[in-house]
Amino acid sequence: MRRFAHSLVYKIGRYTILFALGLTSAVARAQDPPAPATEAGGPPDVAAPAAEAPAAPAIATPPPAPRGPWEDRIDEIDQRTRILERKQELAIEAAAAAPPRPIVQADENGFSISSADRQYQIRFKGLIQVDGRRFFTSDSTLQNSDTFILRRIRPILDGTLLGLVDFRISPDFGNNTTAILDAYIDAHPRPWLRLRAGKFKEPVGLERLQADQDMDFIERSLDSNLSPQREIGLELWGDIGSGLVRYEAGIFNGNADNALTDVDSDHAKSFEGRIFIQPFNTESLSFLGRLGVGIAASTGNEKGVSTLAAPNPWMGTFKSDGQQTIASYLTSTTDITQTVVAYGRHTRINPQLYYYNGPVGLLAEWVKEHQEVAELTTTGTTFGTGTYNNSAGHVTVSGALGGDVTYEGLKPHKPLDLAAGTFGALELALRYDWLNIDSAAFPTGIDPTKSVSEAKAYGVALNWQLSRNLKVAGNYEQTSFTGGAKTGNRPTEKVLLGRFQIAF
Amino acid sequence: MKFQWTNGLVLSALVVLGTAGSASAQVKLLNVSYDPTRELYQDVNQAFGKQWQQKTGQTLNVSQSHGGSGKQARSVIDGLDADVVTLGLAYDIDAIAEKSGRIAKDWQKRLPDNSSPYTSTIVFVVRKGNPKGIHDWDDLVKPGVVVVAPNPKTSGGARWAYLAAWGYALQKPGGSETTAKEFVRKLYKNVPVLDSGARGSTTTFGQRGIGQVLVSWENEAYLLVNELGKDKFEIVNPSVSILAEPPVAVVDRNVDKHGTRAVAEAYLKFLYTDEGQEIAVKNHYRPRSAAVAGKHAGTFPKIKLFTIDQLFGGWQKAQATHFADGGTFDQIYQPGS
Repeated sequence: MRRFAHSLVYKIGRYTILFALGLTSAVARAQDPPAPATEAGGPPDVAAPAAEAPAAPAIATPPPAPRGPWEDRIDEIDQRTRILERKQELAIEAAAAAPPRPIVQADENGFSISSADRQYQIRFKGLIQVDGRRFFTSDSTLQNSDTFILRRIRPILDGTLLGLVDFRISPDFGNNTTAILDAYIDAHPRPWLRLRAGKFKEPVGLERLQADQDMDFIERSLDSNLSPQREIGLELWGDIGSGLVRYEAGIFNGNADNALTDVDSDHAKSFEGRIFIQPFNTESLSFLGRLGVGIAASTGNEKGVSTLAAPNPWMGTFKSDGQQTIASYLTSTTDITQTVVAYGRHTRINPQLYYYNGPVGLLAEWVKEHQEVAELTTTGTTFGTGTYNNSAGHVTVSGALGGDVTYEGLKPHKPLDLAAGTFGALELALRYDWLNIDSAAFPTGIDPTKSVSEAKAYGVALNWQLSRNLKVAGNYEQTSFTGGAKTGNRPTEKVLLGRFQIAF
Repeated sequence: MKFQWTNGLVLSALVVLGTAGSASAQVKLLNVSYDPTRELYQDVNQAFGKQWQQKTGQTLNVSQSHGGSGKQARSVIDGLDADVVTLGLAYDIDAIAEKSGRIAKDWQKRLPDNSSPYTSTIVFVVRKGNPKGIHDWDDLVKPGVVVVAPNPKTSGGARWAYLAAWGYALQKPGGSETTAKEFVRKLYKNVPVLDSGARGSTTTFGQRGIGQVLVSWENEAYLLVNELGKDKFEIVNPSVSILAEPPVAVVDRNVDKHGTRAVAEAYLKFLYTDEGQEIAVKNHYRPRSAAVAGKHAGTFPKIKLFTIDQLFGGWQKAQATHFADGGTFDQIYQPGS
C-alpha cells in the first residue's frame, strides 16, 4: 500500500511536470517564428507557396521535427524521475529480500537479543539487593547480628527456543552462599498447557511465588517457614480462559520446610498443586480490580536418613522476620537420640488470596502443615513416631502514592525525573504474621529452651520505587515470641531493615 | 473372518514396497543459476528430463533458482541445497568450494572446456534508432549518456562487463592501468542504477525506460530485443569485448546427501551434447562444439574477444584486484555520486 502510494505520488508528480513542461514547450514553439524552409533538417514548410516548390516526388513521411531545448529538458527530467522510481523499487525489493535482522533491546525489562520472529530469544536479567539490619536489643548476641548484607546477587539468564520452550538459569551469590536457585525449562505448546521441568518455586505459598524484588516487605512472612524455597521436579501448569483460572500440578522430590536441597533423601515423591481463580480477569470486570483466590496443597512421604557423621533429618528450621533462627528440630552430632527426622506423610494446605486495585493491595494466606516424624535410637533406627501440626499465616495491606500496587510489584506511574518533578512511587505497607509450632513437638522434638512455640509479628514498610528497576525500602518489624528461652519467653525482636535494590 | 497377522505383514510389505517404488520413480534436482539463464534451463530441463526418463524410467523434476551470480554463490555457501550450480563466472564456484567445502576444489577439471559448456560476451542494447549514437565503449563515457548495468559486487554479468570495458581501455593506443581505471570510473559515473543482477538491469532498461544503453550479456540482449520488440531496441556490438565463460559444477556434498550424483552429473554432461549445444544456441549462447558452431556460423556476429586470462591473469586475481572490498570498483564507484 505504501509502495503503491509512493509510486502514485511519483507518477502524478512526473506527469504533472511533463505536462507543464510540454505545454510550456509547445507555447514557446508556437511563439517562435517559423523555421525557414531551406534549413537543413527542418520541417517542410507547409505554408510555402506551391509555385515555389520544385516538382519533387511526394515525401511519404515528413522528417522529424527538430528537438527544442525543452524536449531535452523534459527527457532529462523524465529519466531522473524514472531513476528515482527504480531506485525506490530496488530498495523495497532489497529490503524485502534482506534476511531479517535480530532485535536487540534494552529497556526496563532487561536486555535481550531475539530473532526477528522472536522465536529465539535470550534475555539478560539481574537482581541486586543490598540490605542493612539493625536490632534494637540489649542482647549482645543479637547485637552481633547487626549487619550489612548482600541479600541477593542474582544474574538471571532467560531464553526462548523455537518459540516453544523457555528456560531460566539463575544462580544466587547473596546471603554469603552460592546456590543454583532456578534452573528449568518450560515448554508451552498452548497457554493452557505448559510443562516445566527443573528447579523452581513449587505451588505452595502465594507470597513465596511472588518474585523477590516485588514483595512489599524486605523479608517474607513467617508462614513462608512452612514451605520449601525451591523444589526439583516436573509440573504441568497453564492459564485457562485467558488467566481466569491458573492450575499447577506437579511431582517433586519433596523438600523440607524452608529448604533448597537439590537431591532427594528417599524413594518417595511429593505431589503438589494449586488452583488459583481470578474472577475479574476479563475486560468487562477489570474495573473491579484484580482479585485472586486459590488453594494450594502438597502431600508426600518424606524420610530423613540421619547418622552422627551425616545428619540429614529432612526437617525445617524456622526464621524470624529479622532472619534469626527461632525454632529448629532436635539434631545432634554427638547424641543420635537427640535427633528428629521426617518419617512419613508431610502434607501442607494453603488457602490464599490477593486483591489489587490501583494504589491499594491486600495479600493474605494461611498454611497448615501435618508432618510425621521419628526420633532415632543409638543405631540410627526409629524408636518412636509423632505427628506435628504447624500453622502460620499473614495479612499484608498496602497503599501507594504515584503508582499502582500489584502482585508484580509497585509500578510507578512515572519514574523519578528531577527535571520533570516526578518522584516515582511511594508505598506504605502493614503486615501481621504469625507462626504456631505444634505443642506436641515439645520437648521430644524441639528444645523449648531454644525454640519458640509461637511467634507474632507486626511490621510496617515504606518503599520508594524510583522506577521499575530501582527501589529503596525500609521496614520495621516487631516480633513477640512464646517460649524459646531457658526461662520465660524469647525477648521481643525489634529490627529495622533497609534495602537498596536494582532489578532488571 | 479373523484378521491374520501374516496377512497384515504381507499387506504392510506391499504398501512399503509400493511407496518406495513410487519414490524411486521420481528424482529431484535443484539448479542454482545466475540471472539470465531461466529460459535456457527451462529448455534444458525439458530435453534432458525426457532423455533421462527414457534411459532410467525416472521422472526428473528440476527446480531452478536464479539471481545475481555472486548472490547465488553466497546462498549456496550459506546452505541453499543446490545439486548443481550453473553460475556466471568461475570465481563464484571457487568461492563455494573454498568457503563451504561443498564442491571439490578441482571442479573445473571435471568437464571439458574448464567446465564451461557455452560462452557468451558483452554487448550493448540501445533504443531503436540509436538516438545517442552509441557504437563503441567510448560512447558510454560521454557526459549525459545514461548507462544501465548491474552491480559487479553481486552480478557475474556485471563483472564480465566491467572487465570488458577495462580491457577495451587497456588495449587502446596508449592504454594503461591508470587510463583504464579512469575510463571505467567515467563509465560507472554514467550508471545511475545498479541492479543486483542482469535480469534486473534488463527490466530497468527495457520496462522502466531508463537509460540510453544497456550493457548486457549477449544472450540477454537477444532475449530483450526478441521479447520486447525489434521495433523498440537494437543490439550494438562493440569493437572489442570479453569472452565470458559461465561454468557449471555438481555440488558434491549435496548430491551425495540427496543421492542425486548420477543424475546431476548426467545433467551437466548433457549440456555438452549436440542437443544441449543446440539448446544453448537457441537461447543465444555461443556453443563450444565446433560442429554446432559451424552449423550456426552466421548466427553470432564476429567480435574481437579477449579472455580473462589474457588481460587479468585469471578470475582469482581479477576478483582480488577489482571486486574485493576496497578493490578498484569500490575506489571508482561512490553510490549517489
